[in-house]
Amino acid sequence: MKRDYVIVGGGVVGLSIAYYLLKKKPGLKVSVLEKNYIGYGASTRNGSHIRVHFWSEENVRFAIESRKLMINLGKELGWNPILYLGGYLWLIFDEHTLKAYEEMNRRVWSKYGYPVIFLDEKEVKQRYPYLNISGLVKGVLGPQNGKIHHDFVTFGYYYGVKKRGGKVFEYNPVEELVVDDNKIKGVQTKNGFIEADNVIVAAGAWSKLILKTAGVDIPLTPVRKELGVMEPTKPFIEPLIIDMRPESQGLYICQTPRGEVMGSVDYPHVKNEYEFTNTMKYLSTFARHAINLIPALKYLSFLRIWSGDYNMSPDHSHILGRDDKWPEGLYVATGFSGHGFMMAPYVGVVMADHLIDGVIPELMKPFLPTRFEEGRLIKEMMVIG
Amino acid sequence: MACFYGPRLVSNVHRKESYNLVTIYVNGVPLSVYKGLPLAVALYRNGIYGFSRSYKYGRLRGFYSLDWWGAERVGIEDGFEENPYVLQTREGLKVSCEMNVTMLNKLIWVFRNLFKVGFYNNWFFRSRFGWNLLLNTIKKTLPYNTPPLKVVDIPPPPKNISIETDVLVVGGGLAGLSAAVAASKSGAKTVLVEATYSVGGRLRYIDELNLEGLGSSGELIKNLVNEAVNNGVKILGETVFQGILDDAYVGYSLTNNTTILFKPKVVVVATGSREIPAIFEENDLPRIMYLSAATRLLKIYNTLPGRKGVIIGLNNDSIHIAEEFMRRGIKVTIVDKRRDGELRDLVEEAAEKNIEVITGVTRIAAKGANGVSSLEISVDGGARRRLNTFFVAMSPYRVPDMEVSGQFKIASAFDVRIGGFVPLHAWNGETNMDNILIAGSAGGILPMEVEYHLSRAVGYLAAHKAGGKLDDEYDNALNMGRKTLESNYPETLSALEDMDKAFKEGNAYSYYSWRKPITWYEGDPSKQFVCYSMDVTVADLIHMVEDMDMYRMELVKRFSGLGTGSCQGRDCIFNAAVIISSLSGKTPLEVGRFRTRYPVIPHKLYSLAGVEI
Ligand SMILES: Cc1cc2nc3c(=O)[nH]c(=O)nc-3n(C[C@H](O)[C@H](O)[C@H](O)COP(=O)(O)OP(=O)(O)OC[C@H]3O[C@@H](n4cnc5c(N)ncnc54)[C@H](O)[C@@H]3O)c2cc1C
Repeated sequence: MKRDYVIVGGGVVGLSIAYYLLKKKPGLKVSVLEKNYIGYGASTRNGSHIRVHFWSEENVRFAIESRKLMINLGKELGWNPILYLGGYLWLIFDEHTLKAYEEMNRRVWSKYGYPVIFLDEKEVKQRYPYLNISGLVKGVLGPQNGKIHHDFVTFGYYYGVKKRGGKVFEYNPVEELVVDDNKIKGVQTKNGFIEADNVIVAAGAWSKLILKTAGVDIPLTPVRKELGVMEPTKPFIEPLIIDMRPESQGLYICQTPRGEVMGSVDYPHVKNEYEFTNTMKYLSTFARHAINLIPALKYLSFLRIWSGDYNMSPDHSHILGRDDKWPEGLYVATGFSGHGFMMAPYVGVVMADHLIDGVIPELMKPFLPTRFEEGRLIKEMMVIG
Repeated sequence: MACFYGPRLVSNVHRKESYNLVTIYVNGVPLSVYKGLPLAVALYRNGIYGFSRSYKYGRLRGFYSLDWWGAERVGIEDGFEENPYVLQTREGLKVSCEMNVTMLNKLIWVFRNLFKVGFYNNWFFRSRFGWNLLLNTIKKTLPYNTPPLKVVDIPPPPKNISIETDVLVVGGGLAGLSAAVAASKSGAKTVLVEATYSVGGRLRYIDELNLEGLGSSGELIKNLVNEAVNNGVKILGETVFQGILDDAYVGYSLTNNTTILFKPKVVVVATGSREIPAIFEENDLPRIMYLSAATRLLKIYNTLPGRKGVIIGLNNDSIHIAEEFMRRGIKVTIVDKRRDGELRDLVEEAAEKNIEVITGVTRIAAKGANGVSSLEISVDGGARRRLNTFFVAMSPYRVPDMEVSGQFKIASAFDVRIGGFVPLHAWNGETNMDNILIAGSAGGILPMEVEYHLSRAVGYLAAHKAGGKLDDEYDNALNMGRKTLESNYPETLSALEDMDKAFKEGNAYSYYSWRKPITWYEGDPSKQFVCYSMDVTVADLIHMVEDMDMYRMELVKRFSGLGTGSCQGRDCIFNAAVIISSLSGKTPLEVGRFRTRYPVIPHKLYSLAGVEI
């Protein structure tokens, strides 16, 4: 049976696209193909944070729309998103960085109604007495940001797709995009050929590999990141805390509402990006910096660690839609560079509009794959982790 | 023998008793106890059976396992949490235990059907008001401590230790010792790590068993220990092997939290097997524990688990230990779900030894306020009858410990003849990873004599893989293992042959013959706990399978939290898989197991901070 849309990848992005396609036009034949279980990729491995404070106006506006959808996901999907708006707290230790934040706040964040709050050392110590921050210049608090349960959002879209008549096939890897006469014909999976008019590649860190089978090359680099949780305590860390000292190696720490402290650091690139193993380098580096920032973590213990890929694009921003030079009917939604979970709801909405109405929604325009050739890169510097 | 700073070297089988009294404070109340006892044991001796509250329903809980990996926690002075088995009594020790079951906890338990997994998705808790109410309640009532938040100067953390060796054997039970002796005899430099303070594994408690051709189990262990020591095997006690990372083989000392980085050429995983809970109504009450815990109380800590007990599960271990209990004046009854016909030999053996056995028990419900006081049982669905008891010891089934092997990219198979989930490997212990071998029951439950022979073969092979020559004894050991299986254990033999074949063909395989899990009794599913840490009940599994069409373990874990508590799935994964299998019609292999994540037990940040790599 011919499908209207086949989506490669059962992560939060693929499922969101399928959901909004079916919502916009009930009765469409939509299949999602996933090579493992749903969410196997980054979607169940991420830090589950949402924020609106990006460095580029394009991402800020996109994230604001996505946040609105996220917060109302409970109504939309019947799944509680486990919203926890503890904020993001950037700890800034030099004047230069502070200036840049102040400038961003004036120029962009306030303009769209999401100003940040600048806290001096005393205020930070008052609010967060557990922080060891001598030499702090300012704390920047984005109270509109927070956490949402990544698994529940992924599950919510999954059940939403199924309820609306979409098909989700787990353990069904796509091996090849089948193209004939510069038009997409369908996909070859491990379990057979599936015919389709349109194929959307939303395969996260594997997107580059899949696209190659159709002769399409987009500039993506999977970068493995490690994450871990500690044994739970009563919750005491409210925001996601980002230590901006260069020597802290991009340290970020947060705590889930059920008490597990969680966090990561940047560390040298590893080779086996598709093997989700871990390193002692991560454990020891994180431990050192974490204890330095929050001495109370001294006796906490790592309970469980894992890893996943950031799928980095050259300008640290997602890639949506298609390039007219590609085979007809081929689309992508990928390159999320470490913040795709929070963008997923709005990606679903704009992609559904794009696919069904053939228009390019305004907020999607900056994210087209053609921007690299045309030299219209997005200036996004706020990648966390 | 070289001496290491940090982990203690052991060569003894038994623990030395200390009779010095010290005072400890439990929630401020002084208690006089023996020094150096595990806290959980000291509390038990003083009539404190429940010392923590459960995560969701706030149920009073005691210990199940008395193991270094146990999921129970108590707070100590500085506000952090410790495993009450690893934590030993010392003068002035202050512990805080959450023992107050609040009105709210009781209400939630009464209305538990409104709080099944996913309850927060209902319209009320999804609403802004409902969700904020719930979130704040959760944050306030979580049964954990708050660490002291004051910023203090932290002394630099201790540095890690590094140990280089040819062969690293993980686990000091029969399999590990046998492998270590073989490897060292072949000339390989061998280090053995053992998580407890003494070697011998299960045979420390089952020491009067007569093993065909090998003498008594206790003697065998003693001889092996002597041989190991004489051949220069270094045995590190109270040291947990945490797993293998891209850049490190990691150990962790339980005595002083030092991190150890091993540099082995070959690793032999000999982590053995463990009991799992039986699933019945209120199987979480204090004084319901594993059989091994009850045994340890009595044999190691000289503490009566009670004057009257019920053992769930009729098998060689339980008969052996029931005898011991009876000798010590404890009245015991063994109950089992299976019928006489399936258990004929064991029933006869128990009868000879005057042990009371009730088979064909279809339903069990535990009763009691602050600890179990009776079991209500029915036989073959018949009338309910009450067994008064002071403690319950569970041994319904044994599973391999996959906490180390489950971290690797080794496919798991499922074979109910040898313990359910097993890491796919060959007869001689080879896995699909070049330098990792599996020995003994860690790879599937084996009879002890067989374990001895096959593990020796693995040891010889390990030495060979580490660069030595292959000992002539290698083939002999393999043959002896096979012969013993052929003559006495045909079922285990076919399981190993199936596995060997599957391994060579590179296929995961599944063998499952139960109609209903033998670990799962009838009763109110909302009172049957599958995962103690996260309070996941059979009712939750039913809801997931029947209402949500969810059966894959990776998803079940993420939706229900099953397996994400301190035990990381050890207690629950087998039961969850077979129960979901019987609810959904999928095989346990299709249900699957979630990937075991590093580390084996929680690893202190302070200790990791000192690691230089
Ligand atoms: C450690 C970490 C922390 C993060 N923290 C955050 C955060 O706090 N906030 C945030 O917004 N984002 C975060 N992210 C990023 C976020 O997780 C991702 O951007 C997002 O999940 C991407 O979703 P996706 O659906 O595009 O990709 P994925 O979730 O990776 O899904 C792709 C799917 O495609 C499947 N697939 C691959 N190849 C094939 C094939 N050939 N056939 C069929 N299926 C295939 C994969 O199995 C996978 O399930 C984090 C990422 C990591 C790794």
